[in-house]
Amino acid sequence: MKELDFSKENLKAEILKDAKSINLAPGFAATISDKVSDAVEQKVNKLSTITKNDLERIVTSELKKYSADLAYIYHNRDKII
Amino acid sequence: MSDIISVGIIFLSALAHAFLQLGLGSLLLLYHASLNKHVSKKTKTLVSSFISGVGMIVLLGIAAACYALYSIFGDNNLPIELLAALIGIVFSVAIIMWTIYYHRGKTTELWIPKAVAKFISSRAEVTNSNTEAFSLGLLAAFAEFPLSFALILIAANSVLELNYTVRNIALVGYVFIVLLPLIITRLCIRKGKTIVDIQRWREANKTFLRIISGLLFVVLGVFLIAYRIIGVPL
Repeated sequence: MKELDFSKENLKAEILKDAKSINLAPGFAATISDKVSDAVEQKVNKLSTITKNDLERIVTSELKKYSADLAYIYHNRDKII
Repeated sequence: MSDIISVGIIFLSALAHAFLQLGLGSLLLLYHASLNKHVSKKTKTLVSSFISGVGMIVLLGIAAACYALYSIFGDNNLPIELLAALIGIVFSVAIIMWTIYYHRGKTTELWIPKAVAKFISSRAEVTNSNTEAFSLGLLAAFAEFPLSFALILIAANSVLELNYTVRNIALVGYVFIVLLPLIITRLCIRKGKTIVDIQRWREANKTFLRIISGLLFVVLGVFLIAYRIIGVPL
């Protein structure tokens, strides 16, 4: 497991890119990315270290609250082939 | 009657080839990477270039196999020993399809070297021009050659058994069948489906795809044994 530094801005950008790839409305995507990155930041700040898998799990669970499709594509983008 | 058997072998080989999943997976990666940075019109041309790349390498592969077989054996069929070896490979690939080709769990990851999967993913991510998309198609189809080369050789041998006039049609038909899943995916996305819908379908039907793809290899092997080795009359 690799520890990583969390970047809120990177996460927002990733969510917006994934949202665009599944044709989510830009305004809705921006709202989701703001809310999810805020929520993830709060959770990450409570942890002393975080791995890539931890972050992926937290982000996926937050995304699921707003869009199942977006959560799915975020979780599975490295698992297509 | 011999022509019917040859066409049957070409059809079965192409169908088994079409069920290999690396091309489709790479196409979805390209869609995902392209849709999040380009307008959809640009994505469409990239995807068309990708499909052309796959078609080109399959066409070149089968044409090269035809040329090689014709150069070595002339108008004669493959020697029965070589055909038996190819049938053995076909049965082995069927076992691979049923056991390790698809990873276990809720994923559509495939049994290919991790370095190859990562390379294809990273290339899909940075593909911006039609030439790059075409090359990605070439790469995706080429990476699957270890599983498809026996099919291509078997189909090429059957193409050579046909009349000169229908050989080109058989070659184009083989390539068309191999490209069908990619073309259908492109049409589905054009009709409003997203890559999530397609990926979910692939995940939900993974067992079905595994069974059918393995079964197609077995049917091809049995067909070859019956009509090319034993010589059952039609």
